[in-house]
Amino acid sequence: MNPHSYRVAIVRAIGSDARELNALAQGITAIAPLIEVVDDEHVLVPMRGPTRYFGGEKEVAERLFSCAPKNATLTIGIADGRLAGLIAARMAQPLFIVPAGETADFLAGIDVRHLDQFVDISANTLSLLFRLGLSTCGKIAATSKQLLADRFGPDGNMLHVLCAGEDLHPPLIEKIPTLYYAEGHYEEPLVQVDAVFIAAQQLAVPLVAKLQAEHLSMCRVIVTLTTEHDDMSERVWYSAAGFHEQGLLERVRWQVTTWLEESSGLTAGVHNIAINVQNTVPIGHEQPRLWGGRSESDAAARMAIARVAGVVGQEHVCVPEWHGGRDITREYELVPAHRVDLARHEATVHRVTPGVLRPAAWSGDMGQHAPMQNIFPPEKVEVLNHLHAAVEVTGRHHVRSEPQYIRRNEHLFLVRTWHGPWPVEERWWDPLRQRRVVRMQCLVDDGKQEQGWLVTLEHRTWWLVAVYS
Amino acid sequence: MSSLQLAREQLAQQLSRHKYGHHVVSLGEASLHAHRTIAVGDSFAEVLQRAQLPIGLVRGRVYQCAGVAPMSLAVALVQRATAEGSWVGWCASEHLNWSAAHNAGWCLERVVQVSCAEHWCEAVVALASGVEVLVVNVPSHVSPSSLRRTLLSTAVQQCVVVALGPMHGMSSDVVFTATQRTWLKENELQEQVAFASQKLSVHVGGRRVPSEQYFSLLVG
Repeated sequence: MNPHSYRVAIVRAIGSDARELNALAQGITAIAPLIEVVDDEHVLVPMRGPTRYFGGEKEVAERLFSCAPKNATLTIGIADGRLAGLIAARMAQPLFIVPAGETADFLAGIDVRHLDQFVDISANTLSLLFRLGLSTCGKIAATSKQLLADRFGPDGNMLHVLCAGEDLHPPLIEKIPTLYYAEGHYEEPLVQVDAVFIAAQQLAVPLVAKLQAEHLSMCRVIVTLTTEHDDMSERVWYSAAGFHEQGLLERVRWQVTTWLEESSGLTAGVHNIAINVQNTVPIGHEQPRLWGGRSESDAAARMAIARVAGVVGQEHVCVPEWHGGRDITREYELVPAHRVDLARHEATVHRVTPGVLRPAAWSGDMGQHAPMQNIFPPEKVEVLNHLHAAVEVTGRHHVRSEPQYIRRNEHLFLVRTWHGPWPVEERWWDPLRQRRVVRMQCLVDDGKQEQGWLVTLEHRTWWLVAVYS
Repeated sequence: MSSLQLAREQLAQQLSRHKYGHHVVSLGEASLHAHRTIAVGDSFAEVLQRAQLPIGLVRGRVYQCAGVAPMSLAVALVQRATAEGSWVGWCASEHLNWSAAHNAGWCLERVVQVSCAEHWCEAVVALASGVEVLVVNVPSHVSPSSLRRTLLSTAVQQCVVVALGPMHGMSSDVVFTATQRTWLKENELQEQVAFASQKLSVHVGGRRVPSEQYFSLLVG
């Protein structure tokens, strides 16, 4: 067995909401302490203690299955390390045990392009790894760690560790005494979620600042809330890249909200909040800026984003991120705000800056005037000629007949003028993600006003993808 | 003498006593953050001045973009704000093309989009507590009374609201309506011709506008 890896069970609750996941976590806490809620679907259980107590991994798994919430289906993956556990939980029907010491072999055949589902790494990096010939985890593990670190920086280092079946940070078996600790005791118990949230914020902000002053970021933290009647909620939170204050506060809000929604309910207000940092990671140095760096409005916006995420859900609060490609409607993709670092100025600028390989002008370029409104999902339309037959485009990108009408939702629009077609061939090297599309600008008239539309032809079907609104 | 004027005089005296004090010729008028307007592009600044309105977006007010190109108008209206450090919240059902916004000059690192139909009012109020400009599209299920309460909250929080399309009968402080659009083409000499930009004829009205104005705006 690898000395740097630890047995973990990843419990995947398919179809559970936050309340059910909290109930599941509460149930598992009775079997194993110091479990981690990884995300809104997965719970990590350190296996060393429970395996010895219950007499084996299958016995522990049986007890974990007995904690299943009513409306969720559980699958469990047991392996050495977090990554292998997550993949095993995805493959489990309903249990998948990777034997101890065989995790590296298990990971060796995994396609690197699927890793972004389990590891916080960009799809572009994974695509580049694939094109460089490092198509599986086994090939990455066999490559020199130094080479990967030189080429991909911290991401390369992380990938090498994970693909070798090791963990960046082993699971927490017992609490570690720490220098970084913040505790608040409240004479007037806090009875509302917002009050607890603000109190936690007052603890978290100086703690994050103190760590930042030492060029550290907390990557594993235990948050403990205690009521006047000694009811207690304790959660271990982990982020490999380290928490910024917003990310930590979102987890505190989840913890408080789900705790208050428990069926047993609380009988008293919260009178003690403790944040106990268990592991830290070094952060890259960021030179403070004289002008144009972080500002008070940035901090206020981050707090507002955390607040609105508590209202509508984290997945509905998004920020744009540069993804590249030749499709002007998809150059930027929306990513949930809680998954990106909004605190570091360099990270936020890097997130939205177009790649250096973005072409200034190319054969299929439509110019800089992009349509302002995307139609998502794209609407199927019919582009018709004067005989009301579908307009076709040849392999040499010539339009066989002039577009005269476009039918959208049974409504016929007259085409006043049109431009194009502009061909796009994306990711021709990748059989799974390659696209061949032809685009055309059309000025249509519905009898009231003229509208500019961008339509595309893909697999012999026309789509309305954007409007010059 | 107001407290602001007093503070300004004291600061001027302190600076004059400083060893580099002789460089301080005069100090500009001091103003509270809430009283400062948010910058707009030159075209908008000129027409707001002509309409005898404060030059810029006034915190707490509602601006409406309507007509043939409401999104292009809203993006142009807010562009200078994002460039000068304001955060923008996009709370509209329309999907903004972020590439187009980037090309228009938006700083996308200070933009957040909230997709919600069910808790729209609560989301807008929560977002207004931290962002300075909110671009919204009022969902049809929001009642006029809920909308009024929501806009009151955003005004209290000194947030500028830019509304796309109708406001369910509520009047806006300033309304920009694109009445006509002219397409300008590029690459005329080449085989492929594309729309390079649009020239919008914009009417400026609204309950706070004493004299209606017209101006042209080049988009793209």
